[in-house]
Parts: sequence; C-alpha cells; structure tokens
Amino acid sequence: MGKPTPLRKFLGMLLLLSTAGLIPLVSLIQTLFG
Amino acid sequence: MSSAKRYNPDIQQLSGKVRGIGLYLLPIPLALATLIALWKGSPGGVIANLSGFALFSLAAIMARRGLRLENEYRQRKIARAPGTPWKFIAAVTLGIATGVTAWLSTSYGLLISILFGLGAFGGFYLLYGFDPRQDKTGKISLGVTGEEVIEMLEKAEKKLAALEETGKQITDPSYAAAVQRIVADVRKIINGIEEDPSDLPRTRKFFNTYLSGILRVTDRYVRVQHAEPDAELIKGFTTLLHDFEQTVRAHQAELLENDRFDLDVQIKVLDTQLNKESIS
Repeated sequence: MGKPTPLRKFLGMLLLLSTAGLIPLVSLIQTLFG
Repeated sequence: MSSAKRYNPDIQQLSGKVRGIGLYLLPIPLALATLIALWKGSPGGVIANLSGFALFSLAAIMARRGLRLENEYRQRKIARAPGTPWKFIAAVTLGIATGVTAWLSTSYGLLISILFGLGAFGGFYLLYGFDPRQDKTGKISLGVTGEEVIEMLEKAEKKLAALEETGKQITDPSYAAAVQRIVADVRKIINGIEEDPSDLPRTRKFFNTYLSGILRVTDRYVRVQHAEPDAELIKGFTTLLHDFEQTVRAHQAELLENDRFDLDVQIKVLDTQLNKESIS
C-alpha cells in the first residue's frame, strides 16, 4: 500500500474532521444547551 | 553544486513520531460533555459521552501504535509487516466511536449516525491508509531466505537493545562508553546487512555467539559492580571489552574487504576471553 498523496490526505482530513471531529462538538453543544 | 537530495532522517523520524497525535484531540469535547451531563444530573448523558470518549481514545491509541509500527517498517530495508493491523482496527473503532456517539449523544437518527461512522472510517483511510501487509525482503541473494534474514536481524536487534540497556547501568564511564561504542558499531553491521543480506552467513556466528557472549558478560559485570568485584574480573572485563571492540571493527572491515584473516584471529582471541572461567 503506497503512501497517501497530499490531495488524498487533504480530503481525508476534511472528511475526518467533518465526521469524527464534528460529532463530539455537536454532542457537547447539545449537552450544554439541550 | 550537487543535485543529490539531502538525506535528513531526523525530520522523517520526527514526523513518524508525531503522526496521528491529533486524534487524541477528537474526544476532548466528549470529556467536557461528560462533566456537563454529570452536573446536570443526566446519567444517560454521562454514560453516552463517556463511552464515546473511551472509544475515541482507544481508536487514537491503536492508530498511534499502527503508525509507529508503520514508521519503523518504512525506515527499514528489510522488515516484517506488522503482525496486528492496528491502523485498520483503529479505523473501524473510530467509525464505531463516531456512529455510537452520533446516535446516543446527539439528536441524529440511526441511519445518519451510521453514515457519520462510515465517513469517519473513510476519512481515516484516506488520511492514514491501512497497514503494510507484505514483508520487505530487500535484495535477497541466493542461499539466504528473506525469512532467515528478518529472523536473524530481529534477534540481533533484541540482543543489541538488551546490551544498550545493560550498558546504561554501568557506573564506570569508560566501560559505559566502550559498550556504547560497541552498540553503535554493531548497529552499523546490522544496517550493512539490511543493505546487502548476502553478508548474513558470515555474520551469523558473530551475532549468535559473540553478541550473546558480550551481553552475558556485561550483565554479570553490572550485577557485581557495586560489590567491589575482584581484580581478575575487572581485568577480564576490560580486556574483553577491548577485544570485542576490535572484533566488531575487524568484522566491519571484513564485510567491506571480504578478507577473513583478521577476523579469524580476532575471533580466536575473543573465544579465549569468553571461555575464561572468571568472566563467562
């Protein structure tokens, strides 16, 4: 398996932050204000 | 001006060490959410956020382990692929962590939570990839199999690491420095074999007998060094360290020049030393 290219890394980072990065924040906000 | 690329292993090693550290940041909001749920008196919220926090942290720990193993694998010319696919397991755990947290701790429905989980899994794959699965055997020549080389080098590395650790416990600075020099020289020999495994047959005896011998003797010295060891032991240890250094140097030279004569002489001297009752 080759090393991820910079574009692939960028897309991966974007996808990771918008899912695994976002959900804990949403949970925090909903716990705080829910 | 030379057009050759500058070789900078430090930067590569550093990037290998810090890679994936950001994954530890992901569950921080969940730790805060757990505390807030606790203050609000919501046991469901505490359990949901805490389990999410645990899963995210677990994924980060496993991903770091996988990335560390991958880094070691990439830096070696000859290496076994990591036994456990830590990165893949971490990607699955991260997907589950995201899905479970989305479902239990937020107002998202089951289907959308599953999609969030799949997204996290895919994001991890794109960013970090999965684990290397094939052993790297380098340029293996006739007469030595890749398996043999890997096994031999792993054993030698283990002994060398043990020698390095034992060497750190030596209180006498000159002995400690001699052991460190030996460790550095043996490491050069190991690197040389990674470059050209056809040297392995000639190095086998050296690794099997002499590396084990020096490790045993150093270990013995460390155990008795505080109890005023007798003069004979000290003398034997000094001579042995000196001879071993010479042998390592001769072995390096032999690998370079293919001349066995010097090495045989050195090894005979070392044999005599190791066989002396007082030190072996």
